[in-house]
Amino acid sequence: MTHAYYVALGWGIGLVVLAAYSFRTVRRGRALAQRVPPEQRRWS
Amino acid sequence: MSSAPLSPQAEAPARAPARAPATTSSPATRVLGALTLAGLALLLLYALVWSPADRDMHDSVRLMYLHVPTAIAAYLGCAITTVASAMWLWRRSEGWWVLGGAAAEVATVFTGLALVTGSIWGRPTWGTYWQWDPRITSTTLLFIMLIGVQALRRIDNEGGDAAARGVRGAVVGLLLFPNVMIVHFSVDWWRSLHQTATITRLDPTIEGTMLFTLMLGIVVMGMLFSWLLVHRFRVGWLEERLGTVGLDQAIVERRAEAGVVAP
Repeated sequence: MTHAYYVALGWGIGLVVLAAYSFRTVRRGRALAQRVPPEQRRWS
Repeated sequence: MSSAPLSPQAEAPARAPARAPATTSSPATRVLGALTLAGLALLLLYALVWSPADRDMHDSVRLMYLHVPTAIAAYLGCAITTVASAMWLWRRSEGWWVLGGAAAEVATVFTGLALVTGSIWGRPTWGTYWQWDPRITSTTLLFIMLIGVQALRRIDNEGGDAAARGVRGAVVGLLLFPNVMIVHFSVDWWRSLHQTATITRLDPTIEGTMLFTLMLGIVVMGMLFSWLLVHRFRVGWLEERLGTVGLDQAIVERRAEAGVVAP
């Protein structure tokens, strides 16, 4: 594969950033949800 | 004192009541999340293995299958922020406020990724990581505006007026989608390193597996964007609830201190 360094760098950064942001959002939601009464979490 | 064990009926009230799991997920988001993960795996196979190399760009074209979908997801986030900002200015409802903040944050992530992946793709293609090209410059401006929207929504000046803060954030939010239009048409309006429209024309300039992979990337990033937006919206909703719960609690405590009976 030509330009393998750039392809790996671009996809690597992209996937790591998206995974980290997803993980952070879910964890943030979990921490907040534990402090809010269940009846105010309309989706549960 | 009796030491007889309590009957099951007597124990029941002491048990913790059955509660829904304390998360921002729901059955729908779990299904969407699973489909998105499967789609990402398929996209990786197509983007890195099954799609052919380009005649001119060779294998660096594989970055297109990430760069273009993240840019389109960023545009979508900006459009939602603009609509939510307009609706909040009109209706002043909590839902639009929370949606505007959620879409702006998710759009910031995708815009940042579009800039970074574009920069990395630019090095083997144009020979440079950065150039003050009209599209790159207008996308950078978009990224700064997205950060500005979030900063304006959060800045807490002493005794700050929340409504004024909200108006300032919403007004900048209104300007996001017009800037997206500038980003999109910049390649037609000014001389640019970027090529003109590739897939939004009636006769796309790519075809076959490359076109399919690009479309798959757009669909998968759209699904990931939606999943993130729903979760981020619920995070914002919970933050608002906690603010309300905290305020109610503070009022109760002040009343108790003053010896006032709650109505």
